[in-house]
Amino acid sequence: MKFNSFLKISGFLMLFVTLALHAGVNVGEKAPAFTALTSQGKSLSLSDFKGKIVVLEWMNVGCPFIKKHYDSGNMQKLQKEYTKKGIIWLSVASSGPGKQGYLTQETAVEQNLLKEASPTALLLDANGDLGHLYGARTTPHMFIINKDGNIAYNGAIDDIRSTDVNDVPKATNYVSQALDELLAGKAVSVSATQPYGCSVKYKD
Amino acid sequence: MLNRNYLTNLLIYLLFVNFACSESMSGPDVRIITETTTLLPGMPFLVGIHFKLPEHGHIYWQNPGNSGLPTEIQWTLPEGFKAGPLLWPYPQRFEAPDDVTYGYKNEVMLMCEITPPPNLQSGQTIQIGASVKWMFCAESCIPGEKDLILEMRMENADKKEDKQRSILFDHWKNQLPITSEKLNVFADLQDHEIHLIVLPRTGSINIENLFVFPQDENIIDPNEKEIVTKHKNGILVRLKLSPYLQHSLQRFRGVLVMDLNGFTKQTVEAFSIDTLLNNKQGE
Repeated sequence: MKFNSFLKISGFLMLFVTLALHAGVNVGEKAPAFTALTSQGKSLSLSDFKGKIVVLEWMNVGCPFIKKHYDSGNMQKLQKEYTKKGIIWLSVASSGPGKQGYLTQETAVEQNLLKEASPTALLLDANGDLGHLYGARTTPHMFIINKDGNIAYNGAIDDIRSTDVNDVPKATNYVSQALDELLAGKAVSVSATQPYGCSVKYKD
Repeated sequence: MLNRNYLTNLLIYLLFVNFACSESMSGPDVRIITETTTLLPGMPFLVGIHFKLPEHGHIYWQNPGNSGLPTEIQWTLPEGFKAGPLLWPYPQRFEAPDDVTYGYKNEVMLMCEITPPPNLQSGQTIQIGASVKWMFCAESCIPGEKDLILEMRMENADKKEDKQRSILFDHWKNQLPITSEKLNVFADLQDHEIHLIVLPRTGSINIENLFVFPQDENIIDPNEKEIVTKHKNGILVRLKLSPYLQHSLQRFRGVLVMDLNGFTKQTVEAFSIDTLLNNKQGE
């Protein structure tokens, strides 16, 4: 029992130190480990998906940049297409309590925006721990972790910064581009771009 | 002489005015205005896009910072007319948890110099169109757009109208960053940072309330506050590079805003910086 307590305490301290040091993740670095709660109330860890490609999608149901990708059906299409190919897609809501885009288990199911969404899971990160761990700056902000557990992409969803749904088909989608390259065993051609969107509404 | 009718009318008027002037839920009030109503062949004039913003929230500078969208203006001009670059008054920093952005609150006027052709015919009425797009963010973000049209004729307006225009334009022209020979700027790259050395020709620089706004996106990390220290009779500003910077840097462009404290007659002045990197002469 004492040893378990020791492990728990040192584990907690290590996590704390990890959080304190990380100001974000760089392409090529090991993706930071995490455990989070889904909108279904289940606990999920990055280690559950060892050997798989994982997408992290920071989102906020009220943000006009997010609405562009959901109203156009673009995000849902990407989620469906790539989860079918065995990719793990995790949507993350890091808005703090009382802030725009704040979600709980109860309110998550009510969101019209998410009705057609099909990520592997929606992670509820109201404390902002996961957001800070990865350095999520905007919604959307996309991260891709490759099969080796390293960051393969960090940045914008596509190359047209706007809230206009008409720009979605015109844009180069960096996420589908990178995922297609990873699935074909190729190097990711564009691995880091400046993300655009609303700020992540972290708790104060 | 006050009578009941007058008081009733006054009350109704005041209620109406109060209602009409209450904060617009639909976002900024935007209008187009020229510095002069006189149109002369080949004579440049300033056009302003004037924003009056709701109390809480802001719109964005050409580099919006960590999030948001730069304010955008597309001009539609008659044949032969030319538009210069968009002129941005110096911005402000807005800080939220993990989100530093650059922009304007309450009110701002973006400007542009328009030059008519030398062969402009007298008696012509011309139209200047501006398609304006912005992102207004407070707790939430609301995109907005407006198409504005202004007509101009080659004739003078009455002097009273001109005075109001000059006051407005003088105010916002004074907020434009200036290029000054009073300052020598040197810059180099060291350890994922740009080091800017700013030395005044005379006097010294107050390091309090000093800000550097990078003009180009994706160069400097907006979420990392610049570190300003005294250096000789000037300052050293250390700016952290953006983690998304993917190319090699040749130059740094930005706006330096500082409290003058006797530097000139104004209290705040904004200087335009445009310098090649690895120019270490200031050390």
